[in-house]
Amino acid sequence: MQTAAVPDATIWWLSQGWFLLGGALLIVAVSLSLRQWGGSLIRAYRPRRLTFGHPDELMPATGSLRKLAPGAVRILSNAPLLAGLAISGALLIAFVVPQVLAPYGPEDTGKTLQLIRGKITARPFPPSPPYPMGTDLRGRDLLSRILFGARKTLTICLAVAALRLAIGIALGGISGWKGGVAGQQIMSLGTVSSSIPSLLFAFVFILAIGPTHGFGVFLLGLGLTGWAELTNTVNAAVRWVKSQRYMEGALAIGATPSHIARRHLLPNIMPQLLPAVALEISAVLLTLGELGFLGIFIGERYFGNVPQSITTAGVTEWAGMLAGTRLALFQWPWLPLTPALAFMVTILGLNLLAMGLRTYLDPMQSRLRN
Amino acid sequence: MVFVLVSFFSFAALDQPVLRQLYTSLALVGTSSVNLFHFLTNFSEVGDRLADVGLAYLRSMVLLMLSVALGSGMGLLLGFAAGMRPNSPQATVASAVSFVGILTPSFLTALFVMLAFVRYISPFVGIRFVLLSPGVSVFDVRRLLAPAIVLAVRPLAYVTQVTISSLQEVIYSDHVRTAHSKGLPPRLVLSRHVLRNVALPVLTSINSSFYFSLSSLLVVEWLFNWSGIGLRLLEAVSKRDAETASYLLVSVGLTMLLINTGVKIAMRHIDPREAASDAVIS
Repeated sequence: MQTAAVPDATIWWLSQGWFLLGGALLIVAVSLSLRQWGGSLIRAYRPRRLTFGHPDELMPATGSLRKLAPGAVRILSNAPLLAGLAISGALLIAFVVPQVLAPYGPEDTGKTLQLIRGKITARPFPPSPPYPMGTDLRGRDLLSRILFGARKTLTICLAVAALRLAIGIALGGISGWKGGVAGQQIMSLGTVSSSIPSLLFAFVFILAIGPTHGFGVFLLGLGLTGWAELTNTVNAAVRWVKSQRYMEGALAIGATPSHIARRHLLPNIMPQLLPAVALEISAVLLTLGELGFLGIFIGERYFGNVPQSITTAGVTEWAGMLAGTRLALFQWPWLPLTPALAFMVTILGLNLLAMGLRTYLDPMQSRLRN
Repeated sequence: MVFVLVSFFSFAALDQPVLRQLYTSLALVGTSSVNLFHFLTNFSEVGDRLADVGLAYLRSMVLLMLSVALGSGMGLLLGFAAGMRPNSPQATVASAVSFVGILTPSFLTALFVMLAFVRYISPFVGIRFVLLSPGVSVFDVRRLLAPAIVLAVRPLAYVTQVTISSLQEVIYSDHVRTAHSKGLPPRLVLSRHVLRNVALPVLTSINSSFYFSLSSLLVVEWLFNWSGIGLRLLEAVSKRDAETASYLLVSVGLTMLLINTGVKIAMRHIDPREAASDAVIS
């Protein structure tokens, strides 16, 4: 019943024009269905495992859905995961096909004067039924620009998060596996890095090299900081795996480093790694927003005079939408609030996803399930 | 005689409420020390720069201390109010709200606070709050309150969450259950068994709150045009003034060191296990 209700609600919401929520629920519905089909297939071909108790004793509720699809129940009962999936799903749609969700094009400008809530109003138009989040000074719909800007903004975030992950995993893995003086030095480097606020490091780095050098400067400025926490996580996980008996066995039978990494390390650090990816993207997004406010961004200049930015005409990006809008707050509050809320919702969604994934991938929970 | 006494009390501000007297005295001491510092160092270029950094440091510290005190105090109150019944709806709501509070970017909070002050609070209370003008003294509440509230949001949320989760852990622990079952009055259970165990994580969370506020300081000071360490640092980096930037960074580093040391000492006093572990390590 619950799984049937999700697609129905999605179709209804889509028909009502609630694009974001409808699209998000669509993703949830698809993921749930895939999970259910996959789970049924696996159960059909997998031999029954020995358990210490009957599964019903471990999961006492006896609903039919719980028996048929325990995986789906674990997702449905995980509220943070569902909310995180919904927001991330909407973002994914905006990333891939923004034109499906956006009511207007990113550069579409309305008429100079329009009838808004019974009054003839000049640009920028306030939030109203034709423009749910208002428009900018040129009369371009802010919601559409947010949706079209998701691709550029999230691309920067994903690239920076990938760099942070690469540094964090490499340094954490080496320090955890090798240990000794080298390991201590790496961890000390992490402590030094974490003591410098990411915003300050990125600000200094980007201004020192020059924001006009483009994407590479942003990638390095944001990616060379903020990896220390991940290094600590990977270091602890690798040390724990290394101390296990099965690792001694693997080393004794002459397992190669790639085999150990593939078979023993990765599966064990994955439950911590997946939430960390979401958290890294969210942290990068926060710094990106703060930098945007301070006038450092990639993309089109949106409002006011921002001397430190590089202005790439025609590239919509959230941080660029924030730049220079501080004083516009008192006259046209929707100009800074709309992109700031986009940052907030995305950060919240990614953190909820991380929290939900952590609960879902928790080994204790998995043991209980099997 | 009465006239003389009234004049004296009025001159010494003794006719004011106690809190206002305290605040005025503190503000007087702060301003005098800045002026003295400025006077003593106003003989060379380095002195000028140091005086400038000192002034910026004082402005930021006033803001930081007030925000952390405000956030931690409110967080403790909320945390205890919600966390004494860990499975109650109010605890769930407080946890969820504090989760959102920790994640809310400070620039968004700042925008909401600025808007609220200009549109609602100022007309309602009849006080004209000064949000952006740098000409007003740092000790003027009309200038200080808005940025302090913005910086206090994350410490408030964080301390609330830590207090609730610590209480959840402690309240259901064996020793507290034993204390209850042997008939100890709830007040004593709270003061002897619960508070002592909750104090340590809460103190650590207050320490982390400083770091939270410090990392938001750059954006908040820039948004509110508050000429403290954050804004001066941004200006120094933009102008490539390495000397001023290094003075500012050193002052921030030393402050964090001092706060960390203070918290460490307090933790050793609260929990003997901390002192024992330090002894083992050394």
